[in-house]
Amino acid sequence: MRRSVPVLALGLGGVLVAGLLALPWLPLAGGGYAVKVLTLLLIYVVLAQSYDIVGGTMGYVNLGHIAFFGLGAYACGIAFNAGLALPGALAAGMAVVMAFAALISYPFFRLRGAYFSLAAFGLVKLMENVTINLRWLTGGSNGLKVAAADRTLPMYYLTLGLAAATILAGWLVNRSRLGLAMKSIREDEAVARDFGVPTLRIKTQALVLSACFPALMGGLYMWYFNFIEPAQVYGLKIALQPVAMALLGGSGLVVGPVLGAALLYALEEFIWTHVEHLQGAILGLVVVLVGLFMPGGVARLAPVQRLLERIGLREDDR
Amino acid sequence: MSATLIQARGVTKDFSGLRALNAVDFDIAAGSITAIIGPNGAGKTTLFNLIAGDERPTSGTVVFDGREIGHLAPDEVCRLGVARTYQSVRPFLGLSVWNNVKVGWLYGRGGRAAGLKMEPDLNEILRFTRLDGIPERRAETLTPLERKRLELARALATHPRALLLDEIIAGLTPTETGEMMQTIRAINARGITVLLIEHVMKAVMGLSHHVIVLHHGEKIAEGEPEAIVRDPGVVEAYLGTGTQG
Repeated sequence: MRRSVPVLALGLGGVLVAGLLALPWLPLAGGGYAVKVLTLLLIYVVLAQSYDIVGGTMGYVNLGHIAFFGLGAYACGIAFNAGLALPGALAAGMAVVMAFAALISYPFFRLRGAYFSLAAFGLVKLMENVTINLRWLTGGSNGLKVAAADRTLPMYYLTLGLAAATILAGWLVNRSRLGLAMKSIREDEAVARDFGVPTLRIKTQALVLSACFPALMGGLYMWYFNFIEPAQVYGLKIALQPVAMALLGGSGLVVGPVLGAALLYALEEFIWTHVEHLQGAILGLVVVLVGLFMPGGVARLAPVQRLLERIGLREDDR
Repeated sequence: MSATLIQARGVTKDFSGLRALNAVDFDIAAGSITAIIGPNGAGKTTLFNLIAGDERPTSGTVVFDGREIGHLAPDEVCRLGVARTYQSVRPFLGLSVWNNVKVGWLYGRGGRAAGLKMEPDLNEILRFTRLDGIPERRAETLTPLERKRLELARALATHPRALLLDEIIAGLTPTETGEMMQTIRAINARGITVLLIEHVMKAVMGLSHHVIVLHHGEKIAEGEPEAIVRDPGVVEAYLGTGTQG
């Protein structure tokens, strides 16, 4: 039996590597449905992974992460309609979101724990209402349109690239000097401060960094679907899903959000497709069950840890 | 002795109507070991919090090396050269021993020991605090004594000029107490000014050059340890007069 473990690990590792290598060539195989499904999954990977920079590494549960996605989508869409090409529109959207993140970090990071989380959550609703009321700019509740085109294929590759960049960023942050300061804040913010960590500056840097990725993702999302409305990009489901994914997979580990996104998305896509109203309940259920039975998430379960160790993906979160 | 490193003048701290410290003055000589003693609730930890920047004085000034620090944030005070430990230990429980110490080294030094390389320096500090061999262990897996040593190591990693030790000896066995006293002497021998809050009189008498006695937020005595234990006011504060009630 003991000999079978490395064989199994090797096999799974092989499948994983083969799967990752296959991702760029998937569209050539002609799987139109698969491309669309994977694009959505990759969107969730970007959102969950970037959420976890602040939520996992720094320990501030940012229930308002999706505000960056929505603002990025609108800012990029408006810039695109004003005549900018996609790269320019994405850059404009990202700049707006980064400035916004820097601005809100000042009041929001004076709050701790549940107060921070709830204030950030309230921000999403505020953004939705502001968007609805700025009709001249955003189209209000009628939504915002950009010139339609079939962008399935470029969207797939751009999202794949962004997901890879987000994962890389998460990995780099966890190993960096900034990441260590963020972890010390997660462990005990007052002590971190006593030992020279400029906590407010670090928290602002972390939030601005984590906001870049949903900003770009929002811009691409807008461009891909040609149309967005406030409830769609600031909705409850898209706001909470990345958080639930990170918690399920293992918050604070880079593989965690990716794993959680894959698991929860598979659950949603293949099992719950026909039970629309249960999706919200499932998110809540996942969070409660993870909290009760595996507070570290799937990636911290002992067998998964052993497996990750074998394929060289085990991370050190100490 | 030599120049003054920390000076307090008229330091008062109120907590919503309760006066924790009342017009306290003192001078801490650079390079000395000073013990702050007094009954529970005397204001000792509040005094540490004021020096470390964790609290701000209601009135009065705290001067560190000629600079007013009463209004500074704790991270700024740390970078100026004041490091501390806590009465109930607070290591970063989820981080490794190495990373606990590394936080202090990376963020707390404020340009001191600029020529040193991190790895050999941290290894030396871990050896000194006898935590070498377990750098990868998570702090939550350490024993209470190891956690105290880790707090000491984290503070030393900032290359402090003044070290505030809040009851670091309390709860140790006699052997451990002796070892910790040696460690504190060795730290002081490196030129670091030490302030300690301590109830263990053996440690106070054995270590300190100077003793400050607080009672109900006021400084009631200060001087050499031998003189302090014979001071009638100090004895009364600890034991009561015995003639009343």
